[in-house]
Amino acid sequence: MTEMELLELLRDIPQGYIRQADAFRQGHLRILKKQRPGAAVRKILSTAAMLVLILGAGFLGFHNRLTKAPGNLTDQAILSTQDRQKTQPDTEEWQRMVLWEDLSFYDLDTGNTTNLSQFCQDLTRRNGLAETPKPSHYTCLDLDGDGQTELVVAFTGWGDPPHLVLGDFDGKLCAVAYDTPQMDRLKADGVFYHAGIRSWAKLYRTGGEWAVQTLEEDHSHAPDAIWTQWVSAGTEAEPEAAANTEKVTPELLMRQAHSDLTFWKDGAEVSVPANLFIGDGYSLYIPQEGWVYEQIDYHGIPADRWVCTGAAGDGLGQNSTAEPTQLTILFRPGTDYQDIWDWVIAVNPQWNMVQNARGSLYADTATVNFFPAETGFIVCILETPRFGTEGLGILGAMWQSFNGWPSTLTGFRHRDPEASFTLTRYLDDQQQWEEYTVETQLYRAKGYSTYIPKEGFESEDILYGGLPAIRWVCQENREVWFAVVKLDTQDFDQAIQWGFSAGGSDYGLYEDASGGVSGSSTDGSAYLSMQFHKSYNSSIYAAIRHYPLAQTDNLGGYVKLMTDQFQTE
Amino acid sequence: MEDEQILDLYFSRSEQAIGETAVKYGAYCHSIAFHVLENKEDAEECVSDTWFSAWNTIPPKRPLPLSAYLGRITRSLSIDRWRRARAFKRGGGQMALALEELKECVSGAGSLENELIRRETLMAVNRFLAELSVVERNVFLCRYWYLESSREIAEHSGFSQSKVRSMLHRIRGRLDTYLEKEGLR
Repeated sequence: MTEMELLELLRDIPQGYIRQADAFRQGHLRILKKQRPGAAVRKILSTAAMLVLILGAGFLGFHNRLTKAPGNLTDQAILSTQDRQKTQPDTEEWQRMVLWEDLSFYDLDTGNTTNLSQFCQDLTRRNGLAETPKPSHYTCLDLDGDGQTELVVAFTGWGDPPHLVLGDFDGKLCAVAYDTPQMDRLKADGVFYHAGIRSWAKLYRTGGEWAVQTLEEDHSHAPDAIWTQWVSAGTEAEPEAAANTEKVTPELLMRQAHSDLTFWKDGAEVSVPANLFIGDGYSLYIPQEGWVYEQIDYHGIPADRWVCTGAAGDGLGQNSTAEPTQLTILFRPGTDYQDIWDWVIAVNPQWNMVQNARGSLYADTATVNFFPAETGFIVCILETPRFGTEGLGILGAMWQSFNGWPSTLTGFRHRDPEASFTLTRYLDDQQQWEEYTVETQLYRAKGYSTYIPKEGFESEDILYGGLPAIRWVCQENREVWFAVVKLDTQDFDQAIQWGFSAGGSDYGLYEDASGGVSGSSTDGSAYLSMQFHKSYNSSIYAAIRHYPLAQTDNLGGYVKLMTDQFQTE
Repeated sequence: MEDEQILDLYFSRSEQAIGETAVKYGAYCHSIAFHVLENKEDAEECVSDTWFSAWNTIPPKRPLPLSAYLGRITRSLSIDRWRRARAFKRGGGQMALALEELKECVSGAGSLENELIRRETLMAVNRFLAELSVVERNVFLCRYWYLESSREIAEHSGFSQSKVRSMLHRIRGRLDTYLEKEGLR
């Protein structure tokens, strides 16, 4: 390589680096001062603590807030504030304050002290956006393997807003923004996919900031990080009505929109007013006060969750543990009880679960109930503090009000777990067409599903066009294959450009009438087609099929079937 | 005007798009071109060529943010122009100095005509950049992307010039080792 080649090569480095360097040139980024570590965050926290004292309202750590009686709040707040002045805040506190109380942090990219609201404004200005991005999801995990928990915040908005990573550096709260291509597919162990270097990677700490360490191994199948929907302070999120729940009304379910939940406390019956929540395939009553709704990613499955914020938690008795009181409901495909039990146990290794005669699973702090539906189970996870009294209290009452939709209303975007399709093929030796049946099974991943022949295809994980892909290859002819790729863009034009680039110069590709990219190989031997589909959360998936032209009327039918049956969810 | 509004003008083929681009990014692109060419007139011509290139590529492209897209075009055009000028013995300045410095990290034999090797090398360079700290990466890119002098970088960062030079020297050494290890030097 020549020096000029190296200089020119730098043109194509990730644009996030170019923008960061430009901010540096403009003097927006200054070097992190290392003297007086911890001064900034302590100052901010003590200011916050003073405010708490002045206002007298106080706040508690999230876990305390869950379970303390209202009358104890102020005393507890003062106590915990005084405690904080002596020591650093615990991890949960600063994360909660960043998210909901605009706690300031030091932005390593710009060298400014900012907060979440201001960061969104800066992002708008820096990227020339017409609309200000908003925090949408967050997750707390150990990103850099140092034993401390970092906070990662994701944003909604035009373009590809970055992930903001925040961590405590010797008492100084610091943040770095990573563009989506720089940090994608975040896993529960902190590993992520770095599209810029086409490798799995991990952060590590060095000299008061983070650097990226590339990893050799494939981490595609590691469990995903669990994201929680961000809810703005003081409000409860309005559940987004899924398309198939909009048509379902309380009248249709023959349930009242409002009702009282009753449960026993200290030997007396207690009633609390509640509203009917209509979810995807179920309904139940949620107390009007004291519970915050979130949409979360529960080990790769979208889930509804309600977290008790204190006032309505009386029925659970007094306790001061950090264990939450919450109800989580999700749908998991599959009709085998053993499979669903195994899955719940596998994703919750911290619970020592036993099973009762009715098929529920129990542990000290959790009860998991299963409601069989047409093509899977609705899973209801009730979590309570270990030393709660009065049994399940209001949580039990909420569960008692649970109802699955009647089958006539089944509005799941469910698909049969298995399906048969009739295809036709041309028999060369007999010079005639033949109809035949293909038995398939549903393949459902996060964001999409399709039907895959039960026999004759094997799956493999590959990189296609620089992105992780799953590919099903025909065992009879490996040139016949179907693949799915989640693109790192939400823009169809960019998806098409990616398609041209990924297909390479061996194919004469063109933009076809369906908005995809198709074409034959330049030697006329094979055909490649990519269709782009947007999922409900605006991710774009490419469904790609490839086959030798000689197999158009034979094996090519299989991959066309897989493409035709592909659906985003 | 926001980038999205400027892009809308390009998509509606309004010539106002060029004017708005020049207002918002003229100084930025001029700075890039001037650092390469160190000649005001040449830099202005490069910036004009950048607007022309943007007009011809948007649509179908809809690049956001515009700054990085325009910056890349300007940089490429400026380097091309610098190379042509050097053939007539006019090229010099920061570009020549930067190239001289980068000699430490390369073999000197052309190898990137092959697209596959080029892509592999780019991936390796991207990996290398990802592994640098944010400060090191910014200093490196100010020097070899924006072609700024060590004096200018020192002004931005608050580092002394000698610290910037030694930092660049260390990074080049690490890049040399990295490319050598990857067999891409």
